[in-house]
Amino acid sequence: MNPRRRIAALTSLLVVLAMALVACTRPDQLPGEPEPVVLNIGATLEPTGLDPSTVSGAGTSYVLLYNVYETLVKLDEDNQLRPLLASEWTVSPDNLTYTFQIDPNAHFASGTPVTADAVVTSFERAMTDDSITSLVSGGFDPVESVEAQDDDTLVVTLDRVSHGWLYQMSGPAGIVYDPDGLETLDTQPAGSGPYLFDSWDTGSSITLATNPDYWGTGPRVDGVVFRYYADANAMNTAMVSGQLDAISNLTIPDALQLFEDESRFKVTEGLTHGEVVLGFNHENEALSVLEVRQAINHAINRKQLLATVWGSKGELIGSMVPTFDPWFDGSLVDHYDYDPEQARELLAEAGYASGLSLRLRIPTLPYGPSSARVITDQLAAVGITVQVEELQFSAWLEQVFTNKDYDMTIVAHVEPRDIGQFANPDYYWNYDNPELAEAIADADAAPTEEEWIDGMRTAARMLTEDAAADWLFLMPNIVVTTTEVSGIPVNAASLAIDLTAVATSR
Amino acid sequence: MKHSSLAVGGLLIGLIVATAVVGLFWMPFDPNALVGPRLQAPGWPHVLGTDAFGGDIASRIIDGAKRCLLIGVVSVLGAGVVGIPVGVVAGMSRSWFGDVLARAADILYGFPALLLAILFAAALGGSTWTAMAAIAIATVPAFVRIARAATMQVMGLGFVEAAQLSGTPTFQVALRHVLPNIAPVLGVQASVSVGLAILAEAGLSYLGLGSGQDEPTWGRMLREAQDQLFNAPLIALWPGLAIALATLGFNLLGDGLRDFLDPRLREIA
Repeated sequence: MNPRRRIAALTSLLVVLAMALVACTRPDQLPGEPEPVVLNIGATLEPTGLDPSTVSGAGTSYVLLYNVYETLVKLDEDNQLRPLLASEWTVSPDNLTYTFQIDPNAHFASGTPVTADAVVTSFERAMTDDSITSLVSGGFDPVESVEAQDDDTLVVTLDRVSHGWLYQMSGPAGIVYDPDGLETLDTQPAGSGPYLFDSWDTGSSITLATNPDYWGTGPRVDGVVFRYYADANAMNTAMVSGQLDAISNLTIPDALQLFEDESRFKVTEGLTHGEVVLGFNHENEALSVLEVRQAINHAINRKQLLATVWGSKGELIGSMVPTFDPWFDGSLVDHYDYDPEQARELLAEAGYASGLSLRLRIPTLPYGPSSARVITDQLAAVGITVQVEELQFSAWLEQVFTNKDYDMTIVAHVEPRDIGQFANPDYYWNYDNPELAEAIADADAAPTEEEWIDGMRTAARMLTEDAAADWLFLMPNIVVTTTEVSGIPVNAASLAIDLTAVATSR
Repeated sequence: MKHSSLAVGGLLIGLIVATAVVGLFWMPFDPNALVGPRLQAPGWPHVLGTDAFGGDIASRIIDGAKRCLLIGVVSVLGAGVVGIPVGVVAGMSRSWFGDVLARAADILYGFPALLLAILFAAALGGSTWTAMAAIAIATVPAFVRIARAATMQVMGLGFVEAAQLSGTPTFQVALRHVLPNIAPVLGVQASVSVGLAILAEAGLSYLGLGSGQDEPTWGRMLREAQDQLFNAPLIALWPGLAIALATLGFNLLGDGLRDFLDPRLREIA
């Protein structure tokens, strides 16, 4: 480059920089006017669409549920149902009729009041529209009819007793949409929550603005921005350098030492519904044998795995039940103790004394490759050769989840109370156990709540005894915030990060 | 100092080849086994420490050496086998055909190895072989260009014209007169390309588009080390150093070869 051209290049660089600086200042801001308080929250799972009723994937509900959209009842951070749009509700003695009183103050962001009719419109759409995901429409399986008795009274009649139904209604299935906005839900969410959807910068961030006319007690900030990071290190450094006000769930527990400075950061460790499951393809000849599945359960040292993979944060569960569900059974945790000797004996019993070779196809999610490395090592010790194949999550969804082309896989199941997935023979595990399906259905339809809980506990035990999978651990909810931020829930009981009560002293 | 880059490059490559050869017969630990407590500092018996899982880093570096060499050499060989004949034909042809070949190679130049690897990984699943194929294909145009340019230069020389005028078949001319004369240039290109291929493989493995979990490569080790960057930065240092030294070695070797083989350049230097 000759000197003259270099000067020209430098000059143009300076001009560009100056323009960028000018763009940074805010000409619309009057002196003395307080700067809007916007919280920046680091997150990992970006939504794939904006309509929680038609988009599968937990990212959409994570941002929109309870924040932009509301349900009749909500799940608090202790995994308990609380009133939201329904200020109170009663259940008939035969457990078939639910009567909800809609809060007369409740209104959508558009100003339209939330009436029983609006709920009926939303629920009937979920029951009849073909584009609705099975997770949402499935919530209405036990429902016979939904009627508006008057403006504020909604009556839902079930055709069979279902103790789990109301719980389902606290999730994406139970969202009450603004009936005037149903046509444009893909681009413009229309709900009654404390936030309004503002914008989505695909691949980067989603902005929510605080709803100025919220009918309840809203947040004490002006908005939140979810910033998505593909790389956990980038998110952690953004937090350390002050670009973020919170990390919604830390994915490298080893990085906790970055946030040890208590004058700057607050760290909480809570529970989630995310069971990290080593799934077996029950169509595989070897894995269809109970002894082989039990051998794998005996061969894996889950305590050591949790220490290596997730820094001993999180819980051991032993079945498809998180510790804060009422039918959690602590005795299942050690049902298969770490015992390589017994694993070898079981394999010999099943006719695999000379060894066995299995393909472990995993998504490249934070827990995948690391868990696989530990499992490969521990299974090798009992004579099981594991070939690990890593897939991008989209490829995993297609090849493993949809086409069931795998022997073993690892994925976190984050939906609340999802033990019923083992009752579905078409699910990607190919696990066909009519007895279990019956046990779960019977429990759900049991006459009393106690019998329901007992029945679910029995189902969980059946799963463990049949070694239907190997439940590696329950994902913890590690939230990091600055000391200025309050109101972010400790536990992630629902699919949502509920920011209704969020505030900052900034 | 004469030929210093050739000596240093040769020494570095020799070191890596020796490591790879030793790794074929002996290794301190099983590179895939979790042999000790995780995140151990360098010491004894884990000379370079252990990684985030408790694997022996030194063993994984040694195991990775042979894989990196294999990927580098095989992908460059593949690229050469395809690229050199195409380049020679393009250089010898005096018709539009040569131009078409050259432009086709230019078009291929527009596809970075990364894009090809993503395509392959999507279609076939990421593995050492898809990474190798992607790097090989992306390296082909460089060989076509170099071979063509060198061939065109040789074609203008008297003895080639003499051979052609005396009725030697074109194929014989290419084999006897052109190839031996462009071989030094291609050798230099090959050496530099191996270095670039090792770097490209590291990049692909780092992005998860390369070799699998039970086949440690240096790029893969870097990726695994990334999560520990703040509490155990040394884990990232070793594979990073290995990649840097290998790439430097092949580049120096290429430079040295060029100085050594091209007398005109030698005089200037």
